[in-house]
Amino acid sequence: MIHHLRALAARLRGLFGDRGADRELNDEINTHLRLLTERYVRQGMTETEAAQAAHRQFGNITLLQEVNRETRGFKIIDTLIQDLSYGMRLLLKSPGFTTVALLSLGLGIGANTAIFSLMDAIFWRHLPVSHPEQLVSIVIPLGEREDPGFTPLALFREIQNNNQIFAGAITNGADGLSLTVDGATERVMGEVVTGNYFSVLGVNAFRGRTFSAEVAQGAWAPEAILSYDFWQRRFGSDAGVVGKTIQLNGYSFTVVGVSPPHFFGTEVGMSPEVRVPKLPDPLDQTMPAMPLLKLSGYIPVMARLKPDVSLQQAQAATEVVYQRVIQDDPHLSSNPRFRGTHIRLLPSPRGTSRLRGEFGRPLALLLGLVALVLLIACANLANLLLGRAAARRRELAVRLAIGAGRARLIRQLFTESLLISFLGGALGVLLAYWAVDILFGFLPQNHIRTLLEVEPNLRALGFTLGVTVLTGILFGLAPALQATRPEIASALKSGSTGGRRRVIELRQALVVAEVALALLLLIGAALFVRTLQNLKAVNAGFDADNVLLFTMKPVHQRYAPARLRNFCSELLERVERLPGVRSAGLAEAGPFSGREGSALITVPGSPPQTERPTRAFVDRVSPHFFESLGIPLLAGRDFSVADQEGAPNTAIIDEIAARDFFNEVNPIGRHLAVGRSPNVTEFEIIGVIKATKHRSVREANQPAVYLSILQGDRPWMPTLYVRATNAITPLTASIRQTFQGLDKDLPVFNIKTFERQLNESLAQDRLVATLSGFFGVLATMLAAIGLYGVMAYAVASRTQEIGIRMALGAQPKGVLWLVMWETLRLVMVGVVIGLSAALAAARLISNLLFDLKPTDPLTIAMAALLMIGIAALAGYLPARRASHVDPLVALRNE
Amino acid sequence: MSKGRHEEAQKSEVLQGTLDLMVLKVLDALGPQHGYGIARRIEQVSQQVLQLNEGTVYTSLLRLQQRGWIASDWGASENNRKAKYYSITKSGRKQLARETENWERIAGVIGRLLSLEGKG
Repeated sequence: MIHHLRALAARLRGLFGDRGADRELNDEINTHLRLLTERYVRQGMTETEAAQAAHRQFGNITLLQEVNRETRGFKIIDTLIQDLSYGMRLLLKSPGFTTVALLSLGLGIGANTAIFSLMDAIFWRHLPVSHPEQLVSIVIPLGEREDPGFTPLALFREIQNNNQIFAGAITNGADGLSLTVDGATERVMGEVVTGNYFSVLGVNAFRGRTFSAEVAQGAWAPEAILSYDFWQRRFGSDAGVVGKTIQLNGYSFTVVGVSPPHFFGTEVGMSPEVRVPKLPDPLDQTMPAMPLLKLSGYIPVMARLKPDVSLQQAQAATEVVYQRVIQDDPHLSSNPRFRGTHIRLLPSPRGTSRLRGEFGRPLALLLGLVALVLLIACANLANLLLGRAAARRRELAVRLAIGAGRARLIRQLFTESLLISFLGGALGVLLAYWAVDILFGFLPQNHIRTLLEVEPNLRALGFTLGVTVLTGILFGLAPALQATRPEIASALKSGSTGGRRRVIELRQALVVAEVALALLLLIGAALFVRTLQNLKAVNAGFDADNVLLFTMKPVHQRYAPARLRNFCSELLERVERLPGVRSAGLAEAGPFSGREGSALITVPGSPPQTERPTRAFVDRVSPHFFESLGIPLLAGRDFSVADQEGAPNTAIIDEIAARDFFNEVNPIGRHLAVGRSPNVTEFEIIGVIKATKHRSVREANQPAVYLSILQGDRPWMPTLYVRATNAITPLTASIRQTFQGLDKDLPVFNIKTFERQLNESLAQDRLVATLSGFFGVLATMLAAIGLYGVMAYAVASRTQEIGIRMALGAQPKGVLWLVMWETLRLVMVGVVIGLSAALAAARLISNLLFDLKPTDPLTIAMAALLMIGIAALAGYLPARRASHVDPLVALRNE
Repeated sequence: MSKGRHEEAQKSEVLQGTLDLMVLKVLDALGPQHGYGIARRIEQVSQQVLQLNEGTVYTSLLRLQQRGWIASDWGASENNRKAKYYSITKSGRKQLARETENWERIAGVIGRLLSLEGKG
């Protein structure tokens, strides 16, 4: 209807500030009044009488103007804008209040969202594939562990062929590869997958195509698919990459496509740069330099259920097939590991992840911590709002008295509370983005880089925002509702106490709660920081201040075993000759790399009953390795170039192995057997070194055996350890050059100092200590601010009483102590509650600590004293002000 | 503020709708008028029976304008001052005809009803 449109148009015009209509109406009214006045004058009245009569005759001008104005603009929006601008002005007028409120809200919301988002990315987010809920992993229990990487190939084939239950099954394996394109070589993470990988996951190519139909059916072609990130990074998003030839470990492949952005695979935390298909025939030997290409042995299997098939159905059907496969295959039926086992189909919409085991507990702990911080922030906000409401009682009373509707005032206060919450929320969002980056920096980056797409999670944001909005409404609105009750007269009267008592008590309760929570956080922080200190103080057995690491992976196609050994010797020789280098050594795994293996050790010739097969760490190292890491040789000699292939097998053991296997007898010259029969090799012991840590600083001491890298199995991915005489960083360039000089196409990666490697092994503990420390301090400051606010208010509202006391003879010092005592009373209650909570929660964190009990008295005492000290300081300032009250001034004022 | 509105309703015992009708009729019968002129004519016609707050005429004019039954234009008043003149539109005339017919019908029914009572 046209007139509705016209009315709407008028409203919109008014919304955008069209005041012309107002002016026109005013003109008309003035004209009308003038004419009326003239008429009355003609009838015989005086000017004044006529004017008055005209006004009476006209009626309510203001009402008319308002009715007119109401047809323009939207009333709701108008009042909202009014309320918002008033609210903003109020916030700007009290910068202290605003800063504290917004900062504490922003930090609370931001921290919660960031940690929640990281957890979401690692634990809860579904894979970026189609219908992830249909994906299952095949899991076979082995002993107590369930290993998803251990499905027999025959079973995989059966599952692939079962069209009734499964819509497809895939397997994959990742390995570091040397990728050469356009003459430059770099190390990338490659994933070798079955041809149906992309179709089963339901992922289409972003550019080009996924594997060709033949490959998807099971044939093989040297096709490669790049990841989106790699395509952007290395090829600058050039569409011409499709059809390019690349070399992987020396073999040629053709790029046929690019996978979509955000797709990373099925392992969360890893995003392989290139994918190639698996060789269908397990016996094919064409590409020895890429061992994962072969489909053989035991593999990890993921399958997609058909849409109408339930998990139970699939499980039952697969179990039948599994038992049949075990029976039919002589290898499997004779292997004791498979006896009596049942297969399990594990729903895997979230894929798998190495990160989950490592970071599960720390992140959960941190989530708990930031939730507490949010609580404290809300309590602070509540406190601040209550204080402000009390201060505004008179303002509200006046406004009520001159005619503001109660509903209108409440609506305004509601808007103001929401304003604070939303501003805090906006700040929180910004902080969340920033915090997520910081958190990500704690994740370790080893020879497999951790790649994770983390973005602030909307659900978390919504939840935390909801909490703060609720707090704002509760504590901003409730006192406002009270303040707008029609007892205006009492509020206008000076010196009224009214409901102040209750408000003060509520605020005190809030402060006590804040102190308790803050103390809890502070104790936690102290415990974790000390744990980290303890961990760092552990003597790992190295003296390695200036040691640099370089990892390499010589492609086996280009390096026959003999050539590889020559390469290693030559490399060591050249590097050790560089100026500034004290010594250099190689290790296959190396400490804290996560790659150190273990093996069964037996001492041949011992009587059978005393022969205890024990596991020991085993690594392969070169001459001068121990020297480069500052591991002292206790007896015997180091490896030398004489310990080559062909020479007698030699081994060096650490003192723990010497003690465990040989007791007091000198082990030099004696023999050790390494391996499980029938693959046992004997070694002659030539030296004993001091014990060191291997996988983690926390571990208990275990024996270690070192073999010569130049003997036995060829090096796979050795790391070069270079010890400098002085500073190490200037040497990086010259060492790189040495590598280039020997082989310019050999990628060298994972370059870092040994110190950093050690630090990264403490990633979890660093994460927890840093963040809990930060939050502990933050929480304490918030509690102190809350305390200050309450005490300042209490002092201000009792100025009269203090004045009377002083007039009657109280000393300033006495007043100071009076107020301080009030403060300390609150703090002590909070501390007691906090301590009890800490003791109750002690059990939860005991296994995150190191060398420290969660009820460690020294730590707890330190934290408690710190809290009391800061709180006392917070209370001192208002107390000082109280003691300086001039009785005359106090008694004269309200 | 809401109280004020009730007062206005009490003062004038003329319903919103009938004021609109009167304004339309005035404009139809006497051609373009400004607000003051309309108020005077209504006073004249009603012969002082209706006690009207003259400001309400402008509210009525606003309503009628929004519905498109009258149009406004600026012109010169009697003593050559600028004034806003209102005139009835074609759809306004149609509306006037409709409402007039409505009123006459109602008046007729009431009339018959009342004469019916008398017989009783």
